Amino acid sequence: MIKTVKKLIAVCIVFSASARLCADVPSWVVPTALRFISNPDDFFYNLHLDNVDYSPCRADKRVEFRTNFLPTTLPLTWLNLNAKVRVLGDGGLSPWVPQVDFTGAYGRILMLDLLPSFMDDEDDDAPEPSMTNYSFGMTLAKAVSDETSLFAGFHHSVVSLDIVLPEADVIKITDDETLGELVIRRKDNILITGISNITGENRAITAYLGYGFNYNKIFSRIAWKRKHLEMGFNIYPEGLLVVHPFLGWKWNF
Amino acid sequence: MELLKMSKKTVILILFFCLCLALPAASLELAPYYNYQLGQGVSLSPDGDWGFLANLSNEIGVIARPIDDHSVIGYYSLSYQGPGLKHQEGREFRERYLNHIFVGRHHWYMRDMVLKSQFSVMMERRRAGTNETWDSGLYNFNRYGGSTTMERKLLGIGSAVTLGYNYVTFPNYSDLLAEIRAGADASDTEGTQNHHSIRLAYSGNISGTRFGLSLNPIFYTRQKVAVDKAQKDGSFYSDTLQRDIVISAYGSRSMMLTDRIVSEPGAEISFRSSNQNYQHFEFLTSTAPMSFHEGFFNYIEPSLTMPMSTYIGRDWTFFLSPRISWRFYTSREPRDSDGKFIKDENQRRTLFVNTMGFRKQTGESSATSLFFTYQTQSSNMEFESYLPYNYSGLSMGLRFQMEY
Repeated sequence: MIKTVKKLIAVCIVFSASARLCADVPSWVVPTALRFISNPDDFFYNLHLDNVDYSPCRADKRVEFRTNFLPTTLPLTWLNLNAKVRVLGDGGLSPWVPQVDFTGAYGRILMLDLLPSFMDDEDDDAPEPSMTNYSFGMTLAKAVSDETSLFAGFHHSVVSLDIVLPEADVIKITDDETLGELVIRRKDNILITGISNITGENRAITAYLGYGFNYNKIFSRIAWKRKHLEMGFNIYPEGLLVVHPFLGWKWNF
Repeated sequence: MELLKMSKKTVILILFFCLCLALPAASLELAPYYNYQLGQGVSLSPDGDWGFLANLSNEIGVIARPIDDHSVIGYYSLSYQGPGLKHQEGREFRERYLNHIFVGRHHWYMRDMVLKSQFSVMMERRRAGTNETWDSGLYNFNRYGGSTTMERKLLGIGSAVTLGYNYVTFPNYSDLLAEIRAGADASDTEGTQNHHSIRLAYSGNISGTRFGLSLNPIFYTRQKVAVDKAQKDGSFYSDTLQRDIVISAYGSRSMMLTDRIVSEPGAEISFRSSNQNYQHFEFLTSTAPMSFHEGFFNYIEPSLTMPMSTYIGRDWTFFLSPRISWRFYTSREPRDSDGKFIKDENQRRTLFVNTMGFRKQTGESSATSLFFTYQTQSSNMEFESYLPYNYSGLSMGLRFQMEY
């Protein structure tokens, strides 16, 4: 049991250490950490939302792949890929039919996947943590002028942290019940509405607001887009960190 | 399965979007509307306490004209107001609101008249304490209602007459102190804030001079009126239900002061009258009232506004919006700093709010504003253990807007 607790603490320390930039600990860290403990799934969910871009595919492209660097791949080694496929063009069937995109995203934290291999020894197995996020849904977009388009989407989003304890360290609660796995998971259905404005060749500014029905969660993103680079910030009014700056890279085909 | 377990709000929103898509599919004449706003700011109180403010709002709408002389408008708004930039929970908690508003409206254009009818649903979720979730907020409310407005010329004046009705329900409300005093359980105070509201209004417009009068009676469904003497059941509440009435009159004039400065000075006066009275208890947990105050909630509130804006160059606008209001209670004695009522005097307060700033059009559909707000209030009410009555504060922030 003590070994298990030590390993769990080690996992937490490695995980939180990666989120800091090796600086001196400021005074706000401890209360922030306590607030994180009280609602960890919301913090992970916000990082998941950093990974996913819910705006539509460019009108002149059919497919978009996107990955987010900050604040997920760096510093958390949270690898992620976001794909959007335009299945129907704006005005394709009739002038009033909007552009229709199917979107999907998946990501996982590499460091947590590798952690057991660093901790395993011959006599003792380590806990196996894993952190994944995924999202899928549909986005509708309609150009209302040469530069401006409006969009709306509905998406199912999930983020999940699982820690599987080694068989020898499964915690016995009662004669019939044991604790062999810790799971922090959040699922939500999100409605997105937003606006996109083309500001130049391969340049656009996008703003959207999202609402999660299961947790009454509201969030927003403002993004400046270039041909490949995307940057901006997300706002989580109820989040542990209210403003998340982000940096992403995309390819359009 | 969980995807299928969608809430009513989800279903309403999906139906709304289907409507938005279905209307165009029918080859209707239509125009969409969208407005996104993000505001972030800081406020500074006289005590030197910094607070962070956030305002997020999102409005979507569509106007369709299915046949000549008729148009249909669908509108949905989602907005959040609360602390921003910094997570403020626990001891630093600040109140926050989340609003959903749905409106369906029909305009019927007749030969010399326009008839506008609408229904609306508003759901406000309010977190007034750090231990509340959005769904359990004590002051959460739902408002259901509708109105009809007739616009036509009366005696040569462009006029509008409106008749509206709303039912407001507070699903989580209860009054713990009232329960303690009455020795009752929660069911005695549940629903005591629920009310019916009727609005009858007239507004007119003569060459840019607008004026109006409105009458707004409010009928509470469970809230009883406080009385001076103990009743048979041991409480200090009669069987009469609370009824309020608010009467307002206003006037304003739109003016071009120069070819670049636009202003619309205005004045308004409101009267509120209620049959509710006030039983004063010495302490929050006292069970025996110390004194009885009749007409405690009646007041008169005049106000003056002078908003103006001026264009600076092609993309910049300077705006200024001062407002001053006075509230004179007609039968409420103020209290000294020890909480004792001051005889032969009525409570009053003066509130001045001035917002000014610059707005820059940064694109076809985007704009950014820098704003400053100064607010000050003074009152002869000196007892400020629970609420401040004399204060001043400053806030400033940035607002980003995208609109089509």
